[in-house]
Amino acid sequence: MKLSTNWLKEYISIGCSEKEFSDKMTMSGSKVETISNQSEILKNIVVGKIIKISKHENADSLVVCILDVGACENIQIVTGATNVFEGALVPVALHKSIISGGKKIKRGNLRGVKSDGMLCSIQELGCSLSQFPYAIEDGIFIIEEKCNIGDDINAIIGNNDTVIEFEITPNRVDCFSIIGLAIEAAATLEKTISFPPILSLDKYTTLSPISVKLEKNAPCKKYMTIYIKDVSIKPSPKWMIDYLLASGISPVNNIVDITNFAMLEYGQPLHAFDADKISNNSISIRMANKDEKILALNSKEYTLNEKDLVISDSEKILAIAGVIGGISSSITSETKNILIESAIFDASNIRITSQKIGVRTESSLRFEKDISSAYTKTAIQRVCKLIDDFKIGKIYSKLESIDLEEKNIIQIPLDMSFINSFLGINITEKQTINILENLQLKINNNIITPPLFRIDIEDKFDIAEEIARIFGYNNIPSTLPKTYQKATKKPFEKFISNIHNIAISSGCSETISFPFIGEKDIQTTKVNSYIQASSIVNISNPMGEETSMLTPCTFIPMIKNLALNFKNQNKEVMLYEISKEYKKDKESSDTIETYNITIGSYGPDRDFFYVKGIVENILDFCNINNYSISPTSSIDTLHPYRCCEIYVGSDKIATIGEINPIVLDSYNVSTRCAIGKVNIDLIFSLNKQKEIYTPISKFPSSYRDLSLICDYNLPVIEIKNIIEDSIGEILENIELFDIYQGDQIECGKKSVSYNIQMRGNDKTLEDHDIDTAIDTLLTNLKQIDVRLRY
Amino acid sequence: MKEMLENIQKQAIDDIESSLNLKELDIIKISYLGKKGKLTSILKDMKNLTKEERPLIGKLANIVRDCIENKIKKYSEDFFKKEMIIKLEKEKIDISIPAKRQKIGKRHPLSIVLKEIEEIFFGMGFSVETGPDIEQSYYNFDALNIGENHPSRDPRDTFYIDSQTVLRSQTSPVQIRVMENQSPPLKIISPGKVFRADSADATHSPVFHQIEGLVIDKGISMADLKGTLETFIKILFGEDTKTRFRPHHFPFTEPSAEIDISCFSCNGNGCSLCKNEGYIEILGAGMVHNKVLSRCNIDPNIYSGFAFGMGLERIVMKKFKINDIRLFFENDSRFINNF
Repeated sequence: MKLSTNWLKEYISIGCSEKEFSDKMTMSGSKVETISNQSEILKNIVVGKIIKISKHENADSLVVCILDVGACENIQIVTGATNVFEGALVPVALHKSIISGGKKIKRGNLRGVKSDGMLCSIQELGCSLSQFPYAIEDGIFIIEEKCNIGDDINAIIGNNDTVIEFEITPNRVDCFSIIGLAIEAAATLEKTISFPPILSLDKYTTLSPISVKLEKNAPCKKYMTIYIKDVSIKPSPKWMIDYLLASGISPVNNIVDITNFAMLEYGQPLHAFDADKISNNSISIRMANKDEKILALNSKEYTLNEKDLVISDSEKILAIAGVIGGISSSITSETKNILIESAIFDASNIRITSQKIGVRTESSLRFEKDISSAYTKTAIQRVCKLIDDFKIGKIYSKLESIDLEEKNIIQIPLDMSFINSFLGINITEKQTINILENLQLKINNNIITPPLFRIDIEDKFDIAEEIARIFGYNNIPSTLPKTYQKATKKPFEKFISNIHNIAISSGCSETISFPFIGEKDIQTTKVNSYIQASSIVNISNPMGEETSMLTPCTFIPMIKNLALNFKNQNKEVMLYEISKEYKKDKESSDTIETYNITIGSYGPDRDFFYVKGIVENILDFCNINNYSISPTSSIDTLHPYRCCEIYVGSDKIATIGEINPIVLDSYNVSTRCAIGKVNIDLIFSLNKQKEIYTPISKFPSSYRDLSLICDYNLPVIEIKNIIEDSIGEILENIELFDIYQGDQIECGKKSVSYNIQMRGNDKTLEDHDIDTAIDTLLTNLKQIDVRLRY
Repeated sequence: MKEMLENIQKQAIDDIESSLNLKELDIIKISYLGKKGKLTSILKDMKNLTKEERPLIGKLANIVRDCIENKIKKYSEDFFKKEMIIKLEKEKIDISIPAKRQKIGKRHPLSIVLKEIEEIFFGMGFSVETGPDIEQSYYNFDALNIGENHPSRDPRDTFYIDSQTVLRSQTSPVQIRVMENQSPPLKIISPGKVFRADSADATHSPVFHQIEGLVIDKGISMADLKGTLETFIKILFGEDTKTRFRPHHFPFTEPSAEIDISCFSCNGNGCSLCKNEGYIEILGAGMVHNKVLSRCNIDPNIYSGFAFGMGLERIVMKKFKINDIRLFFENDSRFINNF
């Protein structure tokens, strides 16, 4: 909401600078967005008198003007304008001046002749022809205002206003008006406000020649009209045009300007119809018919339907209610009699229509915010007063009114102890009443009645808010809650924090990715090989196809992250992310969010086994050791021979693999990448942190090194499992320290070498204890065709 | 015999003194004190001595042995030291060669600051609560007193899964869930991802993070809200940081406030970071709306409370002078490894 401070000052004296005023208003709840001082826009432009005009020696289309600008010496300016003449008073942008739009003007040379500045047109001063009807559009502004040579142009064109733009919060629709802001200013500055003069309409008793019919169920609560005869249409006075322009509204003619002027003052939109264009002297407020059309004031045609509220006569639509008027009944220079409308239309109806047809007007903006009916009548009275004052028409009829509004008088007891304890302040009843009265609330016998325009005030909490903001938030003391509440960290929170630490200490850096993916990602990452389309959570209103789903597999964002890093030529990259996978439950169609840690890496040694190591560290941390690890071929995202799944029972807790080179290729990645993910929700439920310590043996350990020969394709985990089973409880550690295949080994075989460390819990192991264990081991190994290498 | 012993001692001392290294010293030791050594063989002749001579010679022999042994020990220690010095010198390394290490990874800057914020509130008695990203619109809107026609419900602002389910546009639904499931006193913060249908540019992102807080108890006042947030701000941004509470409007709090802090780049003098205002807006807050309390079956005439919320990205961007929000989600390792 743009507020002209000159206009505001008609009703309240602010008694401080505009800057100070803005700061105070911001701190009492009307946030100032910008302050623009009109006189700071144009700089170094003065009134000059053309002394002499001579031909330009090098150009026929240019002339050279010698000007008196009130300085010691005359200056010369080259211009191409044809409307200049000797003796004319013109606006002169001197050397180093600024014209409208921020353009800087400097001394220069035009076709070989020095020019000390520029002569300005009306547009170059940021003015419109409506302010100076005698000026011409394309030519120099020949000033007819009263002025002296050398005067600053701002003073001549009336650029002395400061416009403050306020951010109005949705609860304070009443502040979309000069009066609303003036009341806020009065409360903030503790000043009195004088309201604009209005015309009492009591003496008018004639029935309006135009009858109004409000159709049943039409979303309109209040509809008031008044008939005005013999209007004379002409431009508005300059002061009114200045106010409208400062508020961002273009002037049209005196009647339209007055309705806009009153709307800005009260926040109540008004409309003027040419009464003689209304067929059969009757209008109705009704829903449009399907495909009914109207040519609107903006010269565009709109096709409406049964959901749009319109004002019509017996033949045509006159206006789209609350949004925009029609051309057929608009005010023109020929208009003789008018009907002024002031109404309250349903907010959501106006909003939907305005959005649908893409028209937002000052009127629709106010209606869609659900304005009160406090000023529906007052605004018409203000219009009548202005018409009367300007002597541009005769109030003819009485005020015709249809009012279906339920009157709901709100009364709130003044509860001082609540206000003080709720806000934590110590304010007196007198101060409180003073604040409320400045805000136009009535207090009688400790009962508060809010004014009609404050539809946001309903209860004691709303009253507390009024007190708080006018009392000043920064005058409220700072205390701490007396609540004693012990903060606790949830086990899952602690668990996640440990998982972060493991990932970081393994060298991975944390990423945070959007969970959004698209159908194309599902295809290129081949995630569709193991995730059904029906389990994917789709967004019904995505911003684009590529962000239309929530990722069902965290591999997808991780692959994209690796691809970006590869593209940016980052050499060695290890990443991890703790994030959710989103899936739809097949039966209940409930959505399920599952936490995963996802690891992705490429670079020297950042291979399958690097990722496997991190996963094993995580499982170790959880003391999960009853897992089985097996190759898989069902995940096309991964290299078919370099991937595995880890299970505990039937629960898949982790997947690890190199990314399938075909997938990498579609992301233009030409290096091996390893990736893995662990279902955090599952491992959290399986995780068992040590509660009682296991005593450590005080006896010495023994070891044996074994070199074994086995089938080349035998997974070494099978040997490890047999070692664990065969050696039993004296086994302390197994280390696979060499895998060899080559010249000394027969074809199709490999040699694997283990260091097996053993220790007794209750005695020093004797040689024969160890030999027995190793013998059993070798016997068992034979069953899977593994033998000692000699 | 006595002479012989004295000769051996003299000879041995000479040999030891002329030895050059541990190895030679070892040979000398064996040649005198070994099983077949000179001293040992002489002592074998002890049996030929008279009864009177034996203890005297025996005593002398022990003195000689001790003398040789001590001399050898001293020389051996010296040699060891000297040889060790040479050995160590040969083992000299270039300490500037890169270390063998697993570099520690980095936390994401958003996580680093989030952790710091969580710790601050933990110290003030706030526990962390979380909730689902896919949320019922009841929790995201209705329960928070956000009207049917509120613009934030517009599909141009909020992502919908279906008519009743949204991607939460704020972390406030967690507050409702906590108020429904636990009874006052409550003191929680709820951090997490939120989603809004904003196209990504330097300052907007369809996914970002919020941290919200909630305190409910008997006698909680707006002064408590101010004190709590001022304490938090001073810890996070420094003791000298000034705060400014400005009235504002949110559907779920009343009174509501926006909180500005003095710009930490220019200390409030005005700079490009604060757009010359001297203040930066970082928090929204207010007293929990009585309608929100009532919906959660908390009697607003008995209990009161406050809530606050802040955008994590905004704080991290200001703190590290990051000028483009998209950097957070691009996940270039060079960016993350900055922190």
